[in-house]
Amino acid sequence: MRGLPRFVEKLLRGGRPRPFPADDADADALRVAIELRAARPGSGVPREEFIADLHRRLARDQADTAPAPVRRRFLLGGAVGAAGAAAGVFADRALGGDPAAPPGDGRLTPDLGVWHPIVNAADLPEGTVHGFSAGGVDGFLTREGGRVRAVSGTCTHQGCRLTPHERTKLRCPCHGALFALDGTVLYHRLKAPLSALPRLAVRQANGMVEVFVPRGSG
Amino acid sequence: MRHWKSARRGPAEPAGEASGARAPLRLVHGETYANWDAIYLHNVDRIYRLMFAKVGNRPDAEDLTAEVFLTALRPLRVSATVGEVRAYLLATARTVLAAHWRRTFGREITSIDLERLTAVDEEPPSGAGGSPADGSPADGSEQRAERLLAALPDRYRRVLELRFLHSYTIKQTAAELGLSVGNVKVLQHRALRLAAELDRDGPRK
Repeated sequence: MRGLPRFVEKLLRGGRPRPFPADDADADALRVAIELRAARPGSGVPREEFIADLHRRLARDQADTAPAPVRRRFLLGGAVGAAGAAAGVFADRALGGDPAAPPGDGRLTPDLGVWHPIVNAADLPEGTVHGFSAGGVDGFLTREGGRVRAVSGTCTHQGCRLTPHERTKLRCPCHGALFALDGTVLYHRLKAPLSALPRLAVRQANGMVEVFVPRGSG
Repeated sequence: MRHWKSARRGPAEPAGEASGARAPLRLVHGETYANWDAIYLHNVDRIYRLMFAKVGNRPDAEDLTAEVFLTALRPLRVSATVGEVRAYLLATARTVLAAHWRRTFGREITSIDLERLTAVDEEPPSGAGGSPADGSPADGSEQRAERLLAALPDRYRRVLELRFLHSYTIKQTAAELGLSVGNVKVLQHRALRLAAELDRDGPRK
């Protein structure tokens, strides 16, 4: 059977049709076939199972990857927003008092934040961009010219989560702003100026790269 | 602070209602959602229907619907209003669908017309053709199918009606029309081609 009839038969039987090299006339016929098939009474209703499944997937996805600012945004109904992002960083558990840095180990321990171990220093070779989420802050660790840096991974515009772009930039999915790995703004199309990404202090301790996450603004 | 689009923020309490039921559109454009669950439950039905109307089969419609939500939900701000969320989901759906056709056929077979959908969205009750109240974007499809079929000669229309709208198999169709299976196949193929031709030459939409 040729491409079009086979596609149509599959469509009629409710399966996933297979693509074929289609010319203009085929494309028009496909469109009509799809429209007619979609007009079959009751066929556009999603399965309950699918809805529940996707719901679970999204819940997992949100829990895995959503940075704390997002969680906080949910909790507070959006009141945090850009102000928090502009201020740089915010911690998730402002009152949590996570004693990750044990006292009395002979180091100076800043008391307004926590050092979070992120990754083995050996696992951060030159040129890597390592995303992390720690203490409610979403960010990226990079090593350039031997130097390790950490910047916030949240766009300073509206707080969207940035993603690595071409291994040398960070890109905002919401409005396409581009940041360099040191946080400077490379490109944006917004009317108002965009501030650079806040940097986070980094240190190396026991072979781990650690990032200092200040506690919330309070 | 700038949200994508303006930051009209509605009262906080109505948002909670949506979390339980995915049913009717009780939320108004200017209001906001309580959380992402509410966004999902309130919109999954309409996005699925839209996708189904554009691909005509369940496996693809499910995959594309999932893709829309997996892509859109993360960067989405919950502080966005219902109208903004909807517009954003539709825009994402359009991109996802376009990518689907590019991936499979290397060309766009169907597309999502944002302007038309938004127009329908804005004036739900008075919409043309008296479509049912659920306000799904796919509502126009029945009228459109009717129009496509009405333009065809009798035999052609009949075969398409039976096979597409009434789920008849080729055999059942052959029995119904008193034709051979081979004849039905040919007839159906020609009918589809003719409908496409008429649709192309005639007025769209």
